[in-house]
Amino acid sequence: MAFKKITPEIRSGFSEQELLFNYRVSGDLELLGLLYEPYMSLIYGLCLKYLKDEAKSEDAVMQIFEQLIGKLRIHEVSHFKSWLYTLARNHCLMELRSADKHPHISIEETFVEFEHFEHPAITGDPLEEKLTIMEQCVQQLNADQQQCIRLFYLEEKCYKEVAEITGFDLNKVKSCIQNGKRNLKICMDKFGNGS
Amino acid sequence: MDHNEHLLLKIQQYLQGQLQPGEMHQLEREALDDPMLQDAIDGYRQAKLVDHRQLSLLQQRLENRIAGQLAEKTAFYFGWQRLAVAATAGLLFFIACILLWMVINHHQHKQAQPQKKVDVELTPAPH
Repeated sequence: MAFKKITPEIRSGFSEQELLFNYRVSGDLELLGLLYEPYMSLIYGLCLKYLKDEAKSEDAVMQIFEQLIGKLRIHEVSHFKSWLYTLARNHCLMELRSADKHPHISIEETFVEFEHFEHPAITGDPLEEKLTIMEQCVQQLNADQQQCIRLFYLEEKCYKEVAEITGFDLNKVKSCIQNGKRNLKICMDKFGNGS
Repeated sequence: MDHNEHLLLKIQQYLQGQLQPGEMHQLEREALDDPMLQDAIDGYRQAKLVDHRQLSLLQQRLENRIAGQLAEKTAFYFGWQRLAVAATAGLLFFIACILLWMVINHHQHKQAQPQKKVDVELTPAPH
């Protein structure tokens, strides 16, 4: 990728990768601003989640930008959004650690239930196989997860509608869908590896 | 409306239950595959507010920070240190020129003076 001198007129047409490359070469903060600005509202929300304080979150958004100034001149980043997410999350966790506050992470949010099952023999058409595996994996989920996953993914209901149909509260619906999705992925990977 | 405001508005409408079920489902599916979006929604939900003014102030802070670099750059090019170095170099050059001029002038002055004639008579030495 060749370094291009960027004028304000052509700046808006640049892809994220081009902005990353040009920033790494030139160190021009305006380019970094263009990269960072679209994610600011998300980063601020993320900081609010972890730091639970508006002023601290605002400062954190700027501190994360300051970190980017140095890091993006050294590192070659291929997936900026996921890289930025990890950086921002780590920054917030470090902030909490330095303030000697330990984040409370609920078991419901992170706990992935793991269930053992027999592997069925798989033969025939790959798509048909995948659908068969998925159906079997869905059946391996517990009843609540199964119900939420079917309503959310197959019937395309939103959390609110799923909550109304099942009678669960919104947090439980969210948790069932997140854990159900995770369990499904683990199950599908297991079948995919043929283990 | 820029990307940030649009996204923020969508999150706000979602949290206030103002989106259509289809749109809500779409945002939720997006959030399931995008942990940054999910965390942001969780954060705004916890804070019980989506403040557009706050975001504008943050954008202003970012702009000021970027403008700060430009000012630094300008200051770097025309800063007092550089001016001092340039002034010293100029003064040294001026002094060197004067010294050179003095040396040349002195030499020319010396050459311009009339040569004294000295008659020397040689007499044979007595044996």
